[in-house]
Amino acid sequence: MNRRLAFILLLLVFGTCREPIDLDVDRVRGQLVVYGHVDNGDDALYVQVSRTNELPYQYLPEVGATVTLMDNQGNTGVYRRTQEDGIFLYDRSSMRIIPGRTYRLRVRTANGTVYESDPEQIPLNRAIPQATVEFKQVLVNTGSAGSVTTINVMDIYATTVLASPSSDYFIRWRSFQTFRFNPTDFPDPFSSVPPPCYINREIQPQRIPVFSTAGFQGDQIPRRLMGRIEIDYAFNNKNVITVKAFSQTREAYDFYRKAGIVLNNTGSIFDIPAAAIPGNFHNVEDPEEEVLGYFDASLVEIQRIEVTRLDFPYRVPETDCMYESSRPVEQYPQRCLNCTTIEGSSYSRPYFY
Amino acid sequence: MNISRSYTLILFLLLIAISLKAQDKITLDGRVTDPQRVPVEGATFMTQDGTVAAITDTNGKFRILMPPGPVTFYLTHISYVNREVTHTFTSPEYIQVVMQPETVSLNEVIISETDPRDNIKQTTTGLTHLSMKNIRNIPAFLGETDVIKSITLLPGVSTVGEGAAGFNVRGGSIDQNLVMIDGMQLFNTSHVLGFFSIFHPDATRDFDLYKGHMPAVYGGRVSSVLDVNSLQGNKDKWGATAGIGTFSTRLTVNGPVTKNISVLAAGRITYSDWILGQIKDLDVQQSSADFRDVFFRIDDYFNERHHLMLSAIHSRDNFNFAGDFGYAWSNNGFNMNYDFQISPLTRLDVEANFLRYESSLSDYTDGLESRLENGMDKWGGRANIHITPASHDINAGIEGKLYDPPVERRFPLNEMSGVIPKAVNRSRGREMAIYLNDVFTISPVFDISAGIRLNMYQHLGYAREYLYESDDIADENIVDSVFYDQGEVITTYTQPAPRISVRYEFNPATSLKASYNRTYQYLHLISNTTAPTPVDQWQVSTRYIPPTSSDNYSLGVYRNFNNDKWVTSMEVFYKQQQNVIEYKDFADLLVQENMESELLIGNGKAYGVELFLKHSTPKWNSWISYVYTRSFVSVDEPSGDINDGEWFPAYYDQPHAFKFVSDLRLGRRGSFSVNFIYNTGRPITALVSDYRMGQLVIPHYSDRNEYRIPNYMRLDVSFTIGNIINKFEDKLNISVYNILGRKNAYSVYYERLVDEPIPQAYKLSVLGSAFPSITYSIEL
Repeated sequence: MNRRLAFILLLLVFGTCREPIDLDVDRVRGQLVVYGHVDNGDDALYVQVSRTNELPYQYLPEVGATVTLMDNQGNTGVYRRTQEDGIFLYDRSSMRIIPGRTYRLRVRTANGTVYESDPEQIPLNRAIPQATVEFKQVLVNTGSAGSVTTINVMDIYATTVLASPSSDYFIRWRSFQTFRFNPTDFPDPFSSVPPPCYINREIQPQRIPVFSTAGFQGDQIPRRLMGRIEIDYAFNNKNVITVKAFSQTREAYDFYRKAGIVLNNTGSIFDIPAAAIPGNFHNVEDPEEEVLGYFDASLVEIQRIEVTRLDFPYRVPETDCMYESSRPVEQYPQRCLNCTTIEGSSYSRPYFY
Repeated sequence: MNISRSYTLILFLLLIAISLKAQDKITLDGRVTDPQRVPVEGATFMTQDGTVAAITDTNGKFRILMPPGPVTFYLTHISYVNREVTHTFTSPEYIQVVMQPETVSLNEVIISETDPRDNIKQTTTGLTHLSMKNIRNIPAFLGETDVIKSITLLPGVSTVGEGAAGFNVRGGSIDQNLVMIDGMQLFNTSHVLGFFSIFHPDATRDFDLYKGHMPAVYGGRVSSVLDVNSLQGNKDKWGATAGIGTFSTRLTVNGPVTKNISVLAAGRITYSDWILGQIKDLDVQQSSADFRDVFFRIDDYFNERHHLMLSAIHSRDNFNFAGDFGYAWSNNGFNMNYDFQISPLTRLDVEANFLRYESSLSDYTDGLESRLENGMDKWGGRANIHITPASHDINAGIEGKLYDPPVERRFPLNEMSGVIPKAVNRSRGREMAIYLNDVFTISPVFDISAGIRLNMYQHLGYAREYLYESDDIADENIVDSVFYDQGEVITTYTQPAPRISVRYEFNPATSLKASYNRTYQYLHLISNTTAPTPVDQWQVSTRYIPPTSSDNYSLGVYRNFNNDKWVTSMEVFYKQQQNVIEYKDFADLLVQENMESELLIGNGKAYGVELFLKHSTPKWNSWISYVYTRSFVSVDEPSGDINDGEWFPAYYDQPHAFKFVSDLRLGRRGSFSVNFIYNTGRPITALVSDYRMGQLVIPHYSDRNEYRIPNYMRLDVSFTIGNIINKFEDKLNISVYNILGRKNAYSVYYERLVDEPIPQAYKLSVLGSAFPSITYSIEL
């Protein structure tokens, strides 16, 4: 149970209540937002350029921008536009990402304004994750008085070995779930089987586990919870759980530590007060302009483990996409008809699956 | 600084010289007490022609100046049997007068027990004296009469909301209030996160709140002093007081042990666990929230001149949410007070005390099971000599405090926890002060309270002090560190703090007062939460966290009407503060050895006006107040700024506050009381936008404290009826707190619901409905 719900429930004893409120705030509109990340791994790297909007969660992709990666030795890497506005994919063949080097990201908008990130140096100290999973049944308060239910979950943990324990480490972890999804195989005259989708999605991205070795002594960061997945249809097939440990700069660690705070505040009196998180981009000609977002350059170490339904100590729900002759098509979930509608879906089979 | 001290000395000498003009009359000093030697405040000495010769102060003391010869006085008080006192004025003398309490049933009239002319006669600005009788009928949350909650009904005193610990006085933060019981300083007076305080209602006699002028005997905090006095055990017979209410039960027993020794023992315990068990929610049922407190006091009067008082206080709170988190905090204190009447005009008071405050935060989150423990040990001592020659009331003394916090530590609760054990030594500090304060009457209409307090503070080892490459105090700029051994002096601050308050009486119903105080504070509550919590840390001043100082100015006009039935006042105040502590955005304050790297040092200012109107008649007593207060902070230093260095409102800045308190007697047995409070919502930092980074949606917030939560309004009522059972002094109190059921905002926060990525602002109302309660009390 998260702390927000816990705190509010306890205060229910005192008649505590919460209700939506419309604060009369002046929403900041049209601020440029740049998100970029590079590392020495093999996975796709992309940059996202957008602008804030008056309406919440309605982001305006920045159309017509160009993005360039530069290192401290004068080399330049190329980002290519994708079919999706505001998303740029890095061409790894244009410049190798090498640990120890310093990188900057440059964004030129369609009107010619140039924005640059602060330089980020990829650390040389490796942090090697060792992932494990645990299966649990947890009680969940549904929010209405007296209503409690049990759900099956899988927790992902990582113990992380520090290759250079005497060095300063600033680590951020991300974990991903990859599985195959078979859409409904409707009978057809040619007995064709629809191609499966491969889903690759981040596990609880808002959790943002980070760690600094300031004041820490040891060569291994003890087991930490990376994320929790509720058991669902995804586990009908094999799952690959990927844990990535990013060795980052102090500044990047600080940015994501703050992001974790604002994303996980509970609304209680114990919250660390929220504040704006300063990014590391600036307008080259107008330093007063507030630019949001962050570009980080990290050293990545990856570990993957496989989980099948045989590993589960309890029953995994059957897929609801099995063909049934008496079932009208419209009663199938959309993902059974078109699996590309699942977030993170692709027909391409990942190399590690 | 030398010039300032010279001026102070010259001022003293000048005023003492002026006061010598009042020597042609003979002085009678004395003290009025009840049979248990509890001082009687507000007793009036009237001559046969109806002239008021003196009114006793909070310590029951009085002074009368008369030409030689016999005089008969009528001594009157609303709660005591009137009597005559005859005295022949031949030479300066000191007498003790005993008044017998009048048998009353319910007639614990609120508000009016104190002398309505205190307003005019007191030399100090911003002083409020209340006894427990004053506040017993005030509607209280869950029927629990409470000192701290009662003072928040006074003008100039506020709180950021229900469930918040502490109180704010005239735009000051909560750690700027010196809170004491019998001279022992307390660090956290909260029960249940601030819904109640640890002052047992049946073991408390009265309290003084200094909002403006703080006499030089008080030091260590810059905004106010709340001086609470406990009740002394009955010297004549054993008795008991009990109360049973919706939330807690309390019992007080007191009586004589020998002819000279009396004791009082009081305890209170809550059964909130039982209440939690009735809530139809699994998590709440598996939770616990309980508190208890115990107070013990013993008084020994060896003879007329010697008095020894020993007291002990214990309080403990537990707050656990099943499977998620828990808080616990406790106070354990011991106090010794010895007073010796050296001569009729001279008394020596010696006090020594020790307080241990401990708090813990337990986290039961999967994989992060851990506990954080911190606290503060404080040793204190004072020797004060009180001399009352003609026209003077002099206090001089020496005071010492040692702040000795235990090691702050965080440790895992089991082997599966990913929390790394960590412990840091918290800094120690020693505060010494010598002071001199004189209240001298230059003429019957003009008096001055002037004093000076010379503080010497030392930051002590055992500690590691970090050295930074530049004025930008940050981890990345650490270049070296110096280790100081146990007791080694690291930094010393020596600072004089002058105080002065002047009163001029235009006529018996009108006076003007003005005061100036320089105050210093060497202990800071380090908090980086939405509101103060029990686990906030107390941090002593260091080289990088300098003492907070404040220049406090007050000016007031006081006017009574219609034979003191209407008491009015208007006070304006201004505070200018230096070295106010703020936190850096997202500061991590837990288990931090170099705390300074997470803090910012700035300046503060507060100003405002308090309008007060009180009405007192035997049947109806009430007060109404309006206060306009602003409180701002500015931070612009090499380590960082807040809001570009501009002045911004402190989180407790609530510009408008309106309060109405009324008690109407219904016949001889009943009374009906009402509170109404309305104030501006406190500032918050609001979400003004959001942006996307990969799969993350990051909320983007405004400048610090740029917006406000909605305004606060509350109406409480209570009905009290006495003499329910014949031959017993008992009463039944029925209260409804927040009778309008108004959902006052405590905070505003943002939550992104599952599958709904748009963040929504929510108003959290801690008390979202009306709260009825019923309390039965009986005296045996």
